[in-house]
Amino acid sequence: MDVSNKSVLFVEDSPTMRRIIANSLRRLGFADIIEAENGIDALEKLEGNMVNLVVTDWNMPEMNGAELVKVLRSKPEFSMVPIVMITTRGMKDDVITAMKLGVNAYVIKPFTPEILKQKLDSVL
Amino acid sequence: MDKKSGTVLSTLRDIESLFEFGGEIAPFLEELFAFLTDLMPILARANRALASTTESMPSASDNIASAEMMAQDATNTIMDNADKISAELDALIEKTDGETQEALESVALKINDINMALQYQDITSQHLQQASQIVEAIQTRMQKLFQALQEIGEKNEAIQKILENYDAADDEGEIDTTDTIHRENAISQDEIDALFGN
Repeated sequence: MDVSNKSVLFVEDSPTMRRIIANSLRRLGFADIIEAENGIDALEKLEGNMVNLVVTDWNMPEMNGAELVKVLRSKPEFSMVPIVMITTRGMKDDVITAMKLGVNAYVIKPFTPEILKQKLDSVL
Repeated sequence: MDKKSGTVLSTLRDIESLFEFGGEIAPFLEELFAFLTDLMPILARANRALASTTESMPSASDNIASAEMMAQDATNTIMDNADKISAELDALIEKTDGETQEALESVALKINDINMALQYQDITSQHLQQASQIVEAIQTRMQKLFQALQEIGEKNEAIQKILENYDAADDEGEIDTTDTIHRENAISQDEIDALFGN
């Protein structure tokens, strides 16, 4: 899938993971990549901006990924934007919670480039 | 039977059942006291270990934070260099073709694998933080528990005696909690070289 014309916001508090995810997204062909450190930062960066995809971690300070998803899904302009959660939280209950909140795909860390591509392809 | 007599009988039956209940519960109380008598020395020892741990070494969370920082620095160095190598490889791939290009692409993929493997740093860091929180919570609760038992001991001569006797006992097999790796107050290599004169 050609994603060169699609914009993505990814939210991750760990600098290491931010670099890894940014590299992965670039390798997959995304040209327009917006980075945020937590949910609050993400909401600020989304003000007045529209994206085609949101990729978010769950455990983050200030506003975590689950809270961010809840806020985004309450906004009409983001109610249909695909959201992929990438997290270390691997309990079934967590996955179900994420699904109920409106997450479209769920990736457990550590992930491979192939898994990330497969999940992004499935939601875009 | 008049109302008054009925009430008296009912009260007597209540007292009787209370005695029956008391008879049943007495062995349990004895067992509970025996259990507490056994438990107090263990708690005393645990408390002293906790106290010495708190006094003699920086907290576990400090050590974990220090380890995380070192791992983060090392990860950044690896990623910086991997990014530089990838950029150089990409430039070379554009200039070449055929088998050479394929070989370079294969190397680029391996560099990417190295980058992806560095996810361990973030994941390990999260596990360590969680472990640190658990250790600190246990430490706090144990200290509170022992403090409460000491307060009880102050009011109870038997428990106080157990605690005093145990305090005098030796502490064979205690864990060495001396901090040998914490870096905050560690000597620098320059200082070591100066000491050795090299």
